Amino acid sequence: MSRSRLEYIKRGQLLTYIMAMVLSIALLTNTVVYAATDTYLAVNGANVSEVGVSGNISTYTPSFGNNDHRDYMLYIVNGNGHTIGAGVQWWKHPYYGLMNRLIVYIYQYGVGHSHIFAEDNSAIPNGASITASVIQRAPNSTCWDAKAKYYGTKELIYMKCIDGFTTGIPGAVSRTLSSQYNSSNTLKERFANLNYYYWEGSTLKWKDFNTTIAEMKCFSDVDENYQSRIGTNWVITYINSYKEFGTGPPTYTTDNCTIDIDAGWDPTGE
Amino acid sequence: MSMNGTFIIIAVLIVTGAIVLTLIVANIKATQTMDEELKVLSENPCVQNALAIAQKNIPFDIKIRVPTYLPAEGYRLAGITGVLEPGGSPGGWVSLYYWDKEGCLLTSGINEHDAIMQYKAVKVTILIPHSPDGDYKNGDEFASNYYSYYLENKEEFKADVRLVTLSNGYKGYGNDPFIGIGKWIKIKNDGDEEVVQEEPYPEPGEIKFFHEKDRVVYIVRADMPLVELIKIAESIK
Repeated sequence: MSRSRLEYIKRGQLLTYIMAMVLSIALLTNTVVYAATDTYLAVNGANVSEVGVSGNISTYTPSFGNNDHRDYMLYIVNGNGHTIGAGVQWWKHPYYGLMNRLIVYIYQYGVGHSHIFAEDNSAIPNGASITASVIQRAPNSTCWDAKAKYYGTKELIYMKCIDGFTTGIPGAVSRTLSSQYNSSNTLKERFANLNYYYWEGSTLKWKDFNTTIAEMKCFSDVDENYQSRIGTNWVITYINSYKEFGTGPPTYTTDNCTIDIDAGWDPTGE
Repeated sequence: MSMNGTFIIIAVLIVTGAIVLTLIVANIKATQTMDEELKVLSENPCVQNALAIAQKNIPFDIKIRVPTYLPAEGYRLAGITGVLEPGGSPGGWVSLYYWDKEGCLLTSGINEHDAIMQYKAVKVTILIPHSPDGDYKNGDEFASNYYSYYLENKEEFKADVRLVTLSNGYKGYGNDPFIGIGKWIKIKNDGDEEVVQEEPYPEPGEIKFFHEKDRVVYIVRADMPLVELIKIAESIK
């Protein structure tokens, strides 16, 4: 029996009903293909036994081919690979073009992975900021609350319990095609106000994220990539502080990166 | 000091050095601390980047035991990932990747799943416990806790999980490779969930066991039958 329990808050039903219909039709006709991907990610490398993550994701219209999607989310992953994330997804329908929606992502070894979305929380404007969090329900609990919210009008909350999943490493991720394929595959995301969570007794506390950027293919923090605020020619880099970073279209055609690792912190199954 | 005395001292130093070196080499093949293992790994060009991060974050004295049995000739260490808290704080994990091909794994945008399923790597993960005593009382507790959870949620699982006792007596559980599911779930306005799309997602086999002597959990994942994974696990002495 599944331990999942949904708490879903509906707002703006009337306004979004038409979009929900469009999404439903689009989903029925859309085949999602898992393309070979690069994953740009930042993790809290200094803290691996934490109980939550939160932050803002400013989401910008990406560019990519048909039948694909991009997930931008904050997540927790543990050594078993179990992953729970929350954020926003952009996906492309062959007829309706680019769409987005709030998303919760779950990977559990032995079961598989799920992208969870709701009917009436799509159509987030280009450049808008959403808040996202994944936080343990209670000390030592195996249950996690994943939330994504856009400015009070759209909210997705999903709770999932996974055996043995009581702590993890907080991270934030953007996902794109390989930088060597096509510079038109872009993801102009900006992650900010990142925090991780811990318990002091039964009180939930949080601290600055103290980001460590790692990226499965490459990243660079050289000066020419500090262009994220104008939205061009950036890969993955700190913007203003360790709590804030951006990902974007690649400037590299070769793998000449400062650090080039798979840190093992990527959300599994993505 | 006479010439003879100097000669004797030099000879003793040489012999002592040789003995120490022999012991170190022997130790590498058997069991060693994380620090020692990382020194050895530093000579492996496939793991140096991860090494730089891992070396900063070694917690309490953790032993890494490596498999002496791998499924075919030519399998070698081709990548490592490590997630460890600094300052001796507990938690985290270290994963070692073995494969039988040229070059280094995990440096070309290959994630864990692809490394195992497409490139047929064997992944050995050591879960660092939250205290030196380990997170479980014994292997029975480790295995039975999870197996109870599995039975309670069996309809959700695609893996056919079985309890396993290794030849050394350690307890664990595991499963053959299986076809997991990638789902797209829509939450309807009435709160009900609707699966709007499902797709197969092949997953590796796995064995997990609690190493009672070291008080850590080992996970072996590969696209291989459970019987083969058990052989690998049993070679982690």
